Amino acid sequence: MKLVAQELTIAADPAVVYRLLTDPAEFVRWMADEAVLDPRPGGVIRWTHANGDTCAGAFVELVPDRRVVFSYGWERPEVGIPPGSTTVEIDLHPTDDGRTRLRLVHHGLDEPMAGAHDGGWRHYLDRLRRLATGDAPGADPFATTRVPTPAELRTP
Amino acid sequence: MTDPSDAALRAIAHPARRAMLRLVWDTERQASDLADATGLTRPAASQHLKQLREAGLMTVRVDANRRLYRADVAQMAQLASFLDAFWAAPLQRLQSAAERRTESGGAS
Repeated sequence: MKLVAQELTIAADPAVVYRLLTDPAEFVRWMADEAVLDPRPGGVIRWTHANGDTCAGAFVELVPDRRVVFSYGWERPEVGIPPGSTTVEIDLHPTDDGRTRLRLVHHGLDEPMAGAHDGGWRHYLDRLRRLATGDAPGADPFATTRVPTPAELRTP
Repeated sequence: MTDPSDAALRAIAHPARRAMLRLVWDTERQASDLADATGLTRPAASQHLKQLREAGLMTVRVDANRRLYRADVAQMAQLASFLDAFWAAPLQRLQSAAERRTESGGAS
C-alpha cells in the first residue's frame, strides 16, 4: 500500500470548498460530466467522465465545512480498483487569513495506481481550487483519457 | 469576413464529428448520448467532442448534475459563409471564362 497525500491552500472559505465537494451541480464543473452525490453516511457518490469511466463509492463521514470521507473505486474491472475498495479523506481547515487549507489522503492504493492517482488528484484539486476562487477551470484535458490500468502503466 | 480557424476546418473534416454536430444542432445532449447515437465508444466520442469544443463549434453548460453539449450555431454559420465565399469566387471566374469563350465563338 502507498498513501497518496496532498495539501493545498485555496483562497476561499471552507464552506465554499465543501459545497464543491458535495453538491453535484458544482461537482460537474471541476470533476466530471455527470455526478450523483447523496452526501450522508452510506449515501452514493458516483461520477462519470466524458470518456465513460465511472468512479463509484459511498460517503462514510461528513462534517459540514470541515471533512468529507468516501469510499472510491472504478466500475471498469480492468482498472483493478473495484467500487468502494479504497478510501478518500478530505479535511478542510480555515486559515487565519480566511482561506482554506485542504488536505487529501487516499488510502488503499498500490503502485502503479498510487502514482497515477497522485497525478490525477493534483490535476483535479487544481481545478477545484480554480473554481473555488472564481477562475472557471473550463474543459478538462483529462476527461478524454481513460483511467489507466496497471498493465498499461507497467508498459514502457 | 473572418476566416474560420484551421481547427474549425479540421473539426468538420471527420464524419463522426459532423454526425455529432447534427445531433446537437438544435438540442442539447450528454456525452454518453452522443457516443450511443454515433455508435462510438465513449473514449472515442469524448476525443471528438474535445476537438469540436476546442475548435469553438460546440459549447457545454451545466444542468443540475450533468454537462450538456450543443452546437455553437453562430460559429457554424460563420464557417458556412466562409465555405460559400470560398467557392463563389472560383465559380464566378469559371462563369466569366465560359462566357468569354461563348462570345468569341468558342475559338481561343
